Amino acid sequence: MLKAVDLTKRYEDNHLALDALNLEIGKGEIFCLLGANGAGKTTTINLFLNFIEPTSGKAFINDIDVSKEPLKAKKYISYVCENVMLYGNFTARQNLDFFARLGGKNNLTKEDYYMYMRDVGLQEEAFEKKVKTFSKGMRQKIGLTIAIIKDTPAILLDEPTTGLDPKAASELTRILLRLKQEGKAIFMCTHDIFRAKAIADKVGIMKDGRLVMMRTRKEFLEDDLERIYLDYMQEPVV
Amino acid sequence: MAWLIAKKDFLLNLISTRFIIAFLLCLFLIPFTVIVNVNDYQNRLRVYQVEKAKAEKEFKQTRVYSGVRPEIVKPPQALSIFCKGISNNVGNRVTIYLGKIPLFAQGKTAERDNPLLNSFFSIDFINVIAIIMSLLALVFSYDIFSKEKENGTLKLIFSNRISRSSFLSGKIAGIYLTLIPILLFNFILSCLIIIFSQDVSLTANDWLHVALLFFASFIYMSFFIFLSTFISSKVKCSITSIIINLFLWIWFLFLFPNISTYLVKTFSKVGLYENMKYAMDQLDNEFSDKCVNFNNSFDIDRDHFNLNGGYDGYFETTGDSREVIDFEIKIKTFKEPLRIDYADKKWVYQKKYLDDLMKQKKLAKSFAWFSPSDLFENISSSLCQTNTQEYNDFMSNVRDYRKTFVQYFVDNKMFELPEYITPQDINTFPPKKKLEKMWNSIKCIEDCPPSWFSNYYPYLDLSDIPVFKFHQTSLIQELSQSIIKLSFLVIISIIFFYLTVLSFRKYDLR
Ligand SMILES: Nc1ncnc2c1ncn2[C@@H]1O[C@H](COP(=O)(O)OP(=O)(O)OP(=O)(O)O)[C@@H](O)[C@H]1O
Ligand SMILES: [Mg+2]
Repeated sequence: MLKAVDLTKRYEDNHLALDALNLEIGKGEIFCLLGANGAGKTTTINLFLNFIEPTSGKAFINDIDVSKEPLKAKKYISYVCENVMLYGNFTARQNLDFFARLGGKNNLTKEDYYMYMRDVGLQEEAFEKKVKTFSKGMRQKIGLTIAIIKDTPAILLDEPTTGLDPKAASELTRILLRLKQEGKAIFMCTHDIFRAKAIADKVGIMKDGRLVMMRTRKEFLEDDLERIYLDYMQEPVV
Repeated sequence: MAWLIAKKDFLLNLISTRFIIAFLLCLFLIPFTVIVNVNDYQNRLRVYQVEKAKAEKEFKQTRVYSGVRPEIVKPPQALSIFCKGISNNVGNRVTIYLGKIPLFAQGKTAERDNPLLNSFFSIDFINVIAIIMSLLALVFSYDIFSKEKENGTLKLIFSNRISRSSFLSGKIAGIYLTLIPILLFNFILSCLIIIFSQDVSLTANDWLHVALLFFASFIYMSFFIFLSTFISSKVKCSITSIIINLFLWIWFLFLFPNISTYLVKTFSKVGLYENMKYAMDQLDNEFSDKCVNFNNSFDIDRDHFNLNGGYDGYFETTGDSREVIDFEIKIKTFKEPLRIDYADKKWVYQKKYLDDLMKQKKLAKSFAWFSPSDLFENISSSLCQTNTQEYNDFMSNVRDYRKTFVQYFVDNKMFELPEYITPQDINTFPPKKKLEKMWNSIKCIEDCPPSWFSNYYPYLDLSDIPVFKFHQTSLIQELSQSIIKLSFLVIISIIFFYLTVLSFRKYDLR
């Protein structure tokens, strides 16, 4: 569903943020990308969304070359970004309504939106409240709801658990697992090793723009993921 | 998709503080301005009616042709309520003399106002629109991209199947959806005030002009929307954008007009009014000398029983001897054509002064191409018929009329007629000897025959004297003046739009 082939990004200041990334995420698969700050995780997501052009290599969504046919590719993808502010003067429902229509879902009723919001665990009294009064976690839930409503075969999440309380984080995990059941390909960048361990089918560790390690669930469960992660972080790249 | 974005922005704007502030600002400023200007117009209309009645009455009350003084009183333009233009700087009254070609009209509104009251609010509707709508245009457009970026919604939007161009058109449509109601509200409010004010009646043609004013305001506003969106597409954050926008706004509305006035005055010098006046006085003296010399070449006693006259050529006498009246006719026959000649000689200086002023005005007009607000003001005053062009047309019509008037006198040899200087039948003037005898028998003034007094005679019938006709400039003429300026604003706006499209193509969405 999601595929990167020698995906490379060198910024204008000559900084090599992503170096020949190769990965493939199939249907019903959760891929967690770990890595220190500045490792190149967000850069990867931006490349998949065509927010930036790759220096070389290709990103595919559902076998569509993202940089060639970005609009076509975006039909199959939804995105949850870190710390989304949304439209503060709109209520939660109005925000959902706008993005749902933008995602091509025109026939949803108020009740539908309520149902979706209940589903991600947002408290009832917040449904018709202006989003500017929301906490970070509440906004994150709306961001997730937007992705769920769009209902695409692939989902990109950029550090979705930062700022969520433990309960909300485990709700997120539950939802992600359900989405996986539905056969969606999920790509998640995170610093949260425990969460990754809990849900990932594959884990990748990124360091200075390179994917230095990739393990399947079976492999990393046998090993101690935290230890591997810290080992990789200390080791200088050759 | 674009429509979805536009609707979203419209709704967001509608509940935003800036919209409410903008709306309240208009709600207070517009009625205040319009009411002040309606009041001003009503006053001018009243003054006009009084002056016109007075002029008509005085015109008819003359018993000799040398006293015929047509006075042209220009009615105030109802549309000056919207745009005053130069209407308050120039007069509205012109008296026609043989001895002088009128340069400017008399009776400035400013002179009629109470000079002790400082008029702090001399701004008109179009000024308010020029200030408010440009300000609102940039207040609503300065952050159209950066706000979405700061909210994180830009990335979220572009994770969907939406092209940059439809996003851009949606954003711009959103601004229009917000601002057009405000602009319409301003116009409707002012029209309502005008409809419900006394004495102000706009013709169908006037309303058409108001509609054109709306159109011009729309284009003016668009210029600022596109200027501002262009800047927003170039600048990453809202603060930088608002600073640049505000600077440009102040530059276009306040700094540039003042600088251009200063430059115009420096580069295009006008001779002193006093110098022109001095040259004209010299000519007047020359004329007087020639007349005195002419008088002195005859040896005759010019004692009059009842004489009224003035320096302007008015001369009315009754009860004189036949010798005196014949002599006076001879003088007039010599003097009046000379007077007309000297008017033409003086005009050379007046014309030079006027040309200097016009050169200045022309330079100012070419500077206006660099300032949308000046351009908008020019367009509006042209549509409202309160601009220099309209005033010049009026004055040159007046001068043409004077020419016709003078020609009528020349053609009919009026200066040689006794009626030019006396209402009394020429044959009833007794010879000098006889008059002296009559005088000897008169003890007191009551003994004089009533025919020796001017008010014994009726007023002249002046129905043959040519009258002044007001020319109405046609809509086509006015439009031709404005259409180039309007198209210029449109073209500049389109260029900005195109640049925005180009620059937004590279806009960093992250
Ligand atoms: N526009 C840019 N120009 C130049 N360098 C950039 C640009 N954007 C990101 N970088 C650099 O690219 C590298 C990767 O950044 P990226 O945002 O992908 O990191 P990340 O893994 O998402 O980090 P974090 O965990 O902090 O979110 C960083 O070193 C960053 O400084
Ligand atoms: Mg990141």
